[in-house]
Amino acid sequence: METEFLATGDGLSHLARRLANIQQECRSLSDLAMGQTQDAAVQFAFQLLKKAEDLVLASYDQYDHLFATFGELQQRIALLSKQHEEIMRVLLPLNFITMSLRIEASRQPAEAQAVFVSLAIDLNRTVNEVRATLEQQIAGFHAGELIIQALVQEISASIQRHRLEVTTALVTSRNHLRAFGDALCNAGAGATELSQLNHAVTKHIGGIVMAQQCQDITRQKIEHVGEAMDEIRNQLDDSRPAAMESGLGTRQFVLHAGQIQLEQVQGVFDELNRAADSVKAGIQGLRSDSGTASDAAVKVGSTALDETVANLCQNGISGILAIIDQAVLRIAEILAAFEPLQAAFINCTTKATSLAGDVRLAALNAQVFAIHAADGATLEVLAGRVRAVSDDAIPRVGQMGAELYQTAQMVNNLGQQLADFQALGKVERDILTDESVLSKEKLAQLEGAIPLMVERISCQQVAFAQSVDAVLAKVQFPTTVAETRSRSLEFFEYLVTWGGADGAGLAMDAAASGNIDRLRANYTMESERQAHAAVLLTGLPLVRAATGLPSSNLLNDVPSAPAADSGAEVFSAGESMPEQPMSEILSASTTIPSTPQPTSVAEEPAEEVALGANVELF
Amino acid sequence: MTTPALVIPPVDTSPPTAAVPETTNYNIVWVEQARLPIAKTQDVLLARFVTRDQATELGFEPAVLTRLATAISEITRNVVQHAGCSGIFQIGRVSNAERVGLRIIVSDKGKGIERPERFIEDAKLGLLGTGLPGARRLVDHFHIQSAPGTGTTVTMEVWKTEATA
Repeated sequence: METEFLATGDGLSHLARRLANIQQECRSLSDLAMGQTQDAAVQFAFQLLKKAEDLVLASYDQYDHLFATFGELQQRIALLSKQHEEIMRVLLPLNFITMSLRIEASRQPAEAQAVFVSLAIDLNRTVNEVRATLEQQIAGFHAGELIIQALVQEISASIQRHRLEVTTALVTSRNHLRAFGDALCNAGAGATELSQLNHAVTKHIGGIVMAQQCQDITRQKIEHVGEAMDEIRNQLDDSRPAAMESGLGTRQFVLHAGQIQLEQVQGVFDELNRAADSVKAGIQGLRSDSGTASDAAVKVGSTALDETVANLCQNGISGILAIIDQAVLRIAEILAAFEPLQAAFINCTTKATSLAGDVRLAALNAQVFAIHAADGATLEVLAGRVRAVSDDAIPRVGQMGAELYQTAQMVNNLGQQLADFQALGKVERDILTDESVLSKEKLAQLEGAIPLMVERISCQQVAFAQSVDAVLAKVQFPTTVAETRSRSLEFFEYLVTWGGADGAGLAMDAAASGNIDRLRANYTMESERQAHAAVLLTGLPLVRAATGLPSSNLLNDVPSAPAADSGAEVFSAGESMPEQPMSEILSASTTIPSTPQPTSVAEEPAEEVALGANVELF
Repeated sequence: MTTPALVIPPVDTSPPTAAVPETTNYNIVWVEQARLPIAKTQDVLLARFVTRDQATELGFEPAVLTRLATAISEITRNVVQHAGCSGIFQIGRVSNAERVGLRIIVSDKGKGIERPERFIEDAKLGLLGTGLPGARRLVDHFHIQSAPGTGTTVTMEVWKTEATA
């Protein structure tokens, strides 16, 4: 039986170790799956997605701003064209005026004629320059506008497409990540459930270990009682001749004491059987719970991550990064397209301002020369008309210059903003690309780690269930108990044959009856249970310390048997008790009369009390 | 065409007006040129950029930079998407005898939220790293002050164990 206890104990500790390993794996899986670490892969991927989305949205903001600016630019260019036409219309009379100047100058002396012809030529050149320059610039604006318009239309179309692609990619990636996260949560929840189930299994093991301890103590007692019975039997055999001579009282006491011993042993057997049942039930419960836990492990396994999910998430992020790349490149294209237009506006502004000055200067020269001419009334009128045209043209040119300056500033600001965004976009794109690589690694690790952990848990759970089965198969307590029970019955039958040789009844004297009562009172299962509880609470070492004896020798120290020590009466050899069924004998033991009856063993009550007291120790 | 250097527009550098809880006894130096308006998505990128820049200067590990930038994204994005008005981003260097760190305050006077602590207490919210709970997990110290109609102020800190010169 001890071997069996040891085997079961080993099995239990093996189970406990396996369970601890499974619990550790469950905790790791739960931690991994539920994303309790700061840089959990799914969180990281999700955040990366959002950061990429930020960049895409910011690029859309930039495009929106670009579209708005381009719309304004188109309006400004249309206004500039209008202003240009108005200036040309204002300057148009100068052609006729210069012709009149030439005609009028021909009437003047040669010196004055040369001056006014030169003035007319200057005026013509200035007007032509203004016309040519402005027409060229306006044509340049229109050409730039057309280029940008084409670019904007292309960008607009691609943005429509990208918006759709990005929205789809974001939704898909989010859905994949959510699915991935849900699968992780399920795996984590499954692991937690498994852990809780295994916790129940741990409690079972704890209960079984307690029952094992009770059984082990009981087992020791059984063995000690058995040894005591053997010793009693030996001593009775030795003292049988003397006892047969001493009379019936001693033999009757021995018989009753044997009955009590048997009752007690039978009680202990019952306890042992109950404890065995408890162990068996505990292990069966353990088996059932471990089966449930296995099912839970399978459930965790069934949430195994779809290996395409992580790739799809990653592809979504890569797709968005590609769109960001395109956005950054597009902004570079826009910047390149705006650059000549920006330069053209600045150039045009400078020239327009310069032309306005030239026209004014020509008008002033004409007026000065007209005053100094001999007959300059007509010339003065013509100079006045030049001045008037100049006065009309100058504010218009100035207005157009201001408009050009504002447009140039607007284009410049847009260029700077786009350049800033391009720089920021490049930085972000590079960071997100690095993070994307990191995210891919993390997702791949997670993707690889979780199925492995689930598989390990499942394998361990299966192995655990097999171990439980093995431990369960080793539990054979009832058989062992039945064998020991038959041994005690055999002992009592021996007592019956020993004590009842002359057909003795159960009557005895008062002293013997008192001793039997005291023995019965102290030698009860209640005392046993109390002793068990004391041992479990304080630990066997305390009992050992209290008794000063090694636990295995505790019962050996009990006086062999009351009858053996009494030695007062000796039965004669060959005397035997009448044949009587065991059940009757056992039932008779419960009807021992309480009235005192004389007995020879009353002389030695101390040993009997000591027996009871010693039994209580266990 | 060469890429021009990123220019952060100069803004008001006065300290933030929102009430800020003092968590520890330390010095704080607000970073000039780093008080940014948060009104559109590009501002989220800019706040992220400035934060990375400051954290890099303090010698934070790349992983911390990523976490911090992510937290900033979450909080500033909340302002852009949910506050209903523009907000302010402010970053400062904090230090005490043992260590240095960064303190970031993002505040707005927008809609605000009711019982903001629920975002902190409920671990189920933001499981996938979204919003406030996601940001909370990424920094050493996180504090949110908000009420409906009065706006929201989020204060975050990250600390470096060893002080840098």
